[in-house]
Amino acid sequence: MTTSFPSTHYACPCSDLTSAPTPPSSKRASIQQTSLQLNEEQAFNPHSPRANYTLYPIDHLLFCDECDEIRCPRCWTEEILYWYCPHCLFEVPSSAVKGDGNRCSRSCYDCPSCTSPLAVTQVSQRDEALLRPSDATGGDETYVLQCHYCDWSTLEIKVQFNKPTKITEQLVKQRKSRTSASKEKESSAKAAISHDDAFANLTTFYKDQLNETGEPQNAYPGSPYSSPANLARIMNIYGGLSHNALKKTRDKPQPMREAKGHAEGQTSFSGIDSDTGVIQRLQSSGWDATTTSEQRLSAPVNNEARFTDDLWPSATRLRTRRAKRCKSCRHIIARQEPKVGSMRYKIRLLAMNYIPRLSIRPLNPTVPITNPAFHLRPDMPEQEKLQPHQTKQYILTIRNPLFETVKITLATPATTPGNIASRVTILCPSFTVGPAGEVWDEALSASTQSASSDGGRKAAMASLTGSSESSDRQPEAGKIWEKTRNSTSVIVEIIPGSLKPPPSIVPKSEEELADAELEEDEDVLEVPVYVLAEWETEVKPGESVQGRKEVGGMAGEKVRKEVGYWIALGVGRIAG
Amino acid sequence: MTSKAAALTTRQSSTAIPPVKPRCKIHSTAIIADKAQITGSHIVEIGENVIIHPHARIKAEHGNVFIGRGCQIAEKAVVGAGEPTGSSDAADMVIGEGVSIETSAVVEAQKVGDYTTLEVKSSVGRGAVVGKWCKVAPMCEVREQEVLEDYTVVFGDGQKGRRVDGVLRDRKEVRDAKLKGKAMEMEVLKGLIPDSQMKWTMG
Repeated sequence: MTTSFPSTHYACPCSDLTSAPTPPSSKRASIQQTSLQLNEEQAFNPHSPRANYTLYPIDHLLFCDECDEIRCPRCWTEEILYWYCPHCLFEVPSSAVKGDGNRCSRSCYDCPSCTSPLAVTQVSQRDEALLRPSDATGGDETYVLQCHYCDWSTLEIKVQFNKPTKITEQLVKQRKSRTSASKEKESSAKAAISHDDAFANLTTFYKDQLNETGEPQNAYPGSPYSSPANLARIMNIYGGLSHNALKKTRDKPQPMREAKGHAEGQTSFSGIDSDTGVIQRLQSSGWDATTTSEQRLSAPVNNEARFTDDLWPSATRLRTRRAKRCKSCRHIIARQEPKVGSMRYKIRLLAMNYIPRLSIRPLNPTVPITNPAFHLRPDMPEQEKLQPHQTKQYILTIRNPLFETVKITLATPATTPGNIASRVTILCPSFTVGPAGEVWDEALSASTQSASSDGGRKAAMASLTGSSESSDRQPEAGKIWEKTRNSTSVIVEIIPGSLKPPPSIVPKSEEELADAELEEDEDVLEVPVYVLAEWETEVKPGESVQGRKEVGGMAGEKVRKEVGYWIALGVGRIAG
Repeated sequence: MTSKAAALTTRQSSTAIPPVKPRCKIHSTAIIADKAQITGSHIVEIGENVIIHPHARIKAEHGNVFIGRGCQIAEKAVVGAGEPTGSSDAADMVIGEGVSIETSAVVEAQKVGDYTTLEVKSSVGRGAVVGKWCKVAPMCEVREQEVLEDYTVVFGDGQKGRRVDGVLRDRKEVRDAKLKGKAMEMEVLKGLIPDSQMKWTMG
């Protein structure tokens, strides 16, 4: 799952797999008081196959501030802000997209051979005699569309333009003249007609047929008996012959005739028609001259193209910019400025600005920790493996992005779920984290705090003994390890389990042995931790207080809020 | 670069360069940047009007390298056969006239035909034979021992990523235009890259 350790992944609470371990309202008091040892059934299992779909790095998550919940790609909907062309960066109104399809109607074209954009290139100049095609009219400048990646140009399909603007019109004109020319050639050679003409002929023929044989549309125009149903009713009332009987006697339906001949739209299959030409071309030019399915599907004009000579430049497909909405409250959680080319967000509720961030690192690292985002060598340094049954201590740091003091309660199962049971103990599961603030606040408070709280005996001792204070400090149960203005660190003790089951005297059955086989990434030690953050915030005047977890509240009053979520701390791989 | 500076670099290089020095035959009109690297003990022959950019590498460790006239080798490009894999025969390499080898391209071909362009970060495998007027598109790869016929454009994987450029083949004027463009580019580069081929021909 993860390639580098230590890592932290956040589980979106949208699935039942990652739901809160206990109903928050009923047992809140007990959570706050005890260290909350969880059962294995309640705990979120990072090794479960479904966990892959719920765990995200924090920068992939958004936060809905109406629902006070983390939102992952599965629990937001996307809606299209606007369509735009990636080449000319012009916005296309949605009505035009619905009418003309999602392709740029300006002069943007993609290479049909390799899909990179085509550029208008001048191919002939009077003075320099560049690239003058032998059949160029008048020797003036002509232009082609050229691909700078694969060197495909419209010269391959013998298309040139007289002017570098209005490429679309010129292309359409050339396409039309070409198709009509080929049509004429076909019709003169084999007297075949095109599909559209055949269809038109057929419809007119059958309409005529229906008119001839069908009942007359309106036998008595201008009379009150205008509709046949009316007439039939009246005839019934007066007891005469029924309308149907009358009709039968009047005229026997003439059998409908089928179309025959080209004038009436009839075409029949003739084996030698079209395929011989294709086969001959295949024989002469070979497999390399045929198009791939990607090329054929690149644009509707290329759907019928069998050979690379038939490929036509495809208009660039439009792209969309989308806004993200919370699925449950329809509140927008991410939305860019509705202006093409602008990457600025008007609304962007990132989870990392709303939920406490956790990170884990070894207390006494044996190898220096490298940031996976920054390393000089192309290959990652070898990760140290965890030795089973050896207690290791880790520092779990919780960083608060909010401007209020947050009370954190951590809960973790005593043994990690999954096949390999590692024992996990959080030495201090309940504590507070200070509010975030300006950068200057931190700088100022750090100096004053260290002078006031730590500056006394400990600092004097450190200066006397010459050792830094952290090296001889021992982690204690129930004590916070380290505290800065908006982050708090606690110690976690982890005893990795063994990959191999303990040896037993009773010989094992086949099934048990099969169970003992390790699956992929089963040796990764991942600790699920449930984080419950509670804080009090003032209600802003315009804000609604209808949220589920908010209690009471006029403007200006304090409102309690809480966010709970599972995280998976990737600690490392266990040595086998 | 002035002659004084050139002399200085020569003196420095005489001490810094390892004992195995390539036997260079460099035409006097070729421009070889000071920071270009030519390594190996085999013969390196560089034709007239060749431009070798700074930090380009020519490796003659495993075979001779011949570079035809009017070629340019851009920075961080590596030209020359790598470690021989199986067969022990000398991996000589012939690069034809007017070949452009762009930035970070890796060329281990047996032969590269005239006026071929090997684009940015492309690679040509060992023993490959590239024809005339070919183009290997950026980031594309020509496999080992592959033979490309003249006018081939390589722009993807497999056989469907190869295309014979019919326009270039059939129309002389297109080729002339390309040549003209190349000539103009070389003209500009000549003014930009200071020559220090003394470093390789003297001493």
